[in-house]
Amino acid sequence: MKTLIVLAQLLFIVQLAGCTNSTPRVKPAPVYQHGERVGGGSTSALEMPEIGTEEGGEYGQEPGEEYRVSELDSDVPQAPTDSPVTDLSSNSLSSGGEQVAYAGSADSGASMGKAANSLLEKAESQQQAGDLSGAASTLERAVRIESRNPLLWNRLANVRLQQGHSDLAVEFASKSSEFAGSDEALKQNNSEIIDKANSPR
Amino acid sequence: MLILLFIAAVPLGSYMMQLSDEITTSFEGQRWAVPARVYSRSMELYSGAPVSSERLVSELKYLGYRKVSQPGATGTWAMNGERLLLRSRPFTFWDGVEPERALDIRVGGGKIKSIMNHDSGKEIDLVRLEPLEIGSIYPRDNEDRVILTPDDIPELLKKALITIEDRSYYDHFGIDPRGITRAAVSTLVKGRRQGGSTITQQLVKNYFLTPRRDLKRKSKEALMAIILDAKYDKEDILAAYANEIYLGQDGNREIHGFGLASEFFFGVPIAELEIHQIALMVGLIKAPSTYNPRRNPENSLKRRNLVLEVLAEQGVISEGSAAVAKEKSLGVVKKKSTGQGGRFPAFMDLVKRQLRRDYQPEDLTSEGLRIFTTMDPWVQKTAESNVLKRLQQLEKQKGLPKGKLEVASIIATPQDGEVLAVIGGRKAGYAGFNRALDATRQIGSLVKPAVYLTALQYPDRYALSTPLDDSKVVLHNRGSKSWSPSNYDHKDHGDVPLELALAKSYNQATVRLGMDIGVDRVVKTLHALGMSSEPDPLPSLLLGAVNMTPLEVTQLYQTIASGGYRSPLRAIREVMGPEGKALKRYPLTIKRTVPAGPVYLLSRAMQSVVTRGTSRYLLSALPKSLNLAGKTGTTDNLRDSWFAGFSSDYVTVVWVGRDDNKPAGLSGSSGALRVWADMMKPLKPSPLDLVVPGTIEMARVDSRSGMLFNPVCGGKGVEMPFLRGYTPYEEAYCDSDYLLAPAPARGSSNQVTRPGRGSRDSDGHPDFNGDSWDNNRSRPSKKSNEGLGGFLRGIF
Repeated sequence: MKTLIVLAQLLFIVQLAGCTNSTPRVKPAPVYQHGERVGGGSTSALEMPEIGTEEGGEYGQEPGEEYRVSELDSDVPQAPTDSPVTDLSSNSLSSGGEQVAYAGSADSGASMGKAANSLLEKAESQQQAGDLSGAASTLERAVRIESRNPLLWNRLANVRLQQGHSDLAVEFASKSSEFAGSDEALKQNNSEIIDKANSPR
Repeated sequence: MLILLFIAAVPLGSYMMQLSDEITTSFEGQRWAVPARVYSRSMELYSGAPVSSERLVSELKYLGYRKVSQPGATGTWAMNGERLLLRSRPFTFWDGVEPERALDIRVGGGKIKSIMNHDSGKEIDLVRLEPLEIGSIYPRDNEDRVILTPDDIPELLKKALITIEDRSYYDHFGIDPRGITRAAVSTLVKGRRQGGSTITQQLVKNYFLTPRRDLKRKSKEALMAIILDAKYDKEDILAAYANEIYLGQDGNREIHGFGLASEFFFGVPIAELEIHQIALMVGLIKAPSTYNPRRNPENSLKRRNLVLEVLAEQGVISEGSAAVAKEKSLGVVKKKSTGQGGRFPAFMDLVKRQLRRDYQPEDLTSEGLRIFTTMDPWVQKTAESNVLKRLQQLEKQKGLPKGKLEVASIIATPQDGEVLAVIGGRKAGYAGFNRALDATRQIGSLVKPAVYLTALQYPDRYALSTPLDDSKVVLHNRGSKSWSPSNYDHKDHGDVPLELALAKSYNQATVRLGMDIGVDRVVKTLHALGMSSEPDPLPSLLLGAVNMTPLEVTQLYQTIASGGYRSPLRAIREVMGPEGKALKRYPLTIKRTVPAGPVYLLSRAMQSVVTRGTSRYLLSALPKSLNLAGKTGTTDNLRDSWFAGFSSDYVTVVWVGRDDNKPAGLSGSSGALRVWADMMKPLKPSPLDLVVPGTIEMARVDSRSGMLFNPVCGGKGVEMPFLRGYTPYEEAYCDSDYLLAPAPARGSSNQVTRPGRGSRDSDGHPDFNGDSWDNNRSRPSKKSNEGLGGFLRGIF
């Protein structure tokens, strides 16, 4: 009898305790939540990471040298959930987004495999949707598959130019031209990228 | 009576409210510190991919795919001749989900020939397999776990848990009075302790409380279990239990939760577990150590079969499937990882160093990050397995003490600087001194390419054909002894073409060349290639008296291998948050730091190292058609043995030596070169096909004098590359005249040999000011105009 009373009492109190939170049976929060601080986006200038010991500056790169392009990829896109809106703030450095028209794939003398080509197409649609960081990532993936394909380097230059990373755009465009062989149209396009990148804003 | 009850209820009530708050705070926030998981690169499959069937199969094995006769289930494959059927696993990458697919792959001749969707028969352009998990970064309390959501947990596992641990789980309110009574009776009557804890209580005990057994603790546990049950969904509590529970030990690492245990014991994701495997894990809860399937397989088998019997008894599984499951072996995979470093501690070390720059330790051990690295498991494994074999062979062959030879190596990609493999020592699986990252050793002749590259940037003075003086050289330093380095073979070789002097690694010629150019300029080149330190510009630097780690040397050679574009070596591509959100990218960057033309010339000379220099061994060890380029390095008394070389797809550096810095008895070519060849051969590197920069033109020259080929003299001469506008302009003297020829001058005072001569500046260096570059006024003006422009384009 006594046990029963105690149990009843306990149950009553449990209800009470639950009531204070106004939701008697709550679904728990997501299993994990990550601190915002982890996100690259919320911190200030992202530095280009390099491998080495703890302190910066190894690998011959003096601080402030061109690799330390700030915000190079801080515009990591949100997982494409609801609104695939071009996030202008994410490309804050592009200030108007300099762009050079594509050198057409067809113009390129270089042959491209289907795998790299499918990535190139994906990158193009990412770039058009304003997901420049995603486009760069996709192009890098393509470069891993065809590391000497001039068109891929050209597109990478194009994306970086649009992001406002002029130094990098120049490097990629130059590299593209070195692989371009006799593809004069592509070389011409690379020169345009380089000119744009070098022109004062 | 009622009043009395109420008086008792008030303090109890407030205590329970306090407990409730405690539970809410910790159960609704982040429940566990979720360790970061580190992944390898993922294998890309497409028609034409350089993936042999051996390589593909080994990847599937790493990933824990099961070989079956008909691959119907996720994570299975079958092979018949060149045809491989594969049911791939879905995986969430930073840039989207790779769906599960039924693939029909044809593989042969070291390549993927075609790849189709098995269901639709349609060709697929590109498939990305999931990456291999190579380690986790868990917190100091050593708890490692992979979090499962309620949906992730197989129904059978849920049922089995409830059947074995808490049959009235869905009926009780956190505690089970009947269970408690049963336990109490059993304890009192039979004198045997029996657990009466519900799953909820077990969760409370493990999650909220310290392991003590007294009445107070027991009551608190019961109260909290009741509150937990009242506030939260049964399914969520069960999932929390499945994530919390301790199931095994791996060195210091504690295996918590079924998600990780599934990987740890069976090497597959939990969704792919079979009945007997689930039964084994459920059986573990009672006593993870006693029933450890690796250490106590017999206990484990008995326990598992008992669990299977109970499951059949209770109607969770049929008698038939229980019987089948009981016949199965334990199905446990060999233990893959030990301790913090995982299976590949040397590579993980590099990953952690890169992460440490951008993340706090707590972020790494608690935020559930997913880290996608550049490691290629095949490359790493292949390298590891070949290194030890060769070291043992070398020790035997050379009569060296056993077990003393150490090794370090880095394999990276030339065009984007991704590190594919790291060898930190001869024992690959063991964490410890990571020589690839931390052993700073003299680099010996590995420095020479920087010396020659510096010289080749002055095309009015040096070309590949330029004869260098390899006679005895004595350098006088003010206030100290004179220095007179000799060649490895202790011979003088007279005049040798620059290309050959590098190929044969002649010290005397190199010192003269370096002194003529200026050691400080060589240091500048080293910095441009990627050296981080600031060595004193002493003449001994020209022969490699400068310390570097294998990683740093790899950076130098990456710049050369990519034609002069330095890419900071990277081990990480992306960091993703737990919900699949990309958090941070480590993008590809390149920067031209040395001019294309001279790097091209240098690379040609480094190919000569292989075809006619110190690394001819490679011609027999690997196909000649690979046109590999490289350089050997040896330091005083054979303390360090180095080889650095590249194909079009790999740039690889190997060091062999001893930790105590005693002589290892190996030169670069008798030691590191052999290891290098063993490591690279199974990787089937692609031929090195150098891109000829626009600043290069060819000319036929007389191989002895380096002057323009003279048909009058007979013979054929050799076709050689020059920087545009800097081909030799004087025809060779025929053989008999050669010795009488005024040029090339033999540089007694490091006098430059050909074609033009600069004036001397006050430091004794030749004057390399811009206006002296084009001092070949006797050459046709058409060429020199075009050439200077071209050359300037090449330099800048």
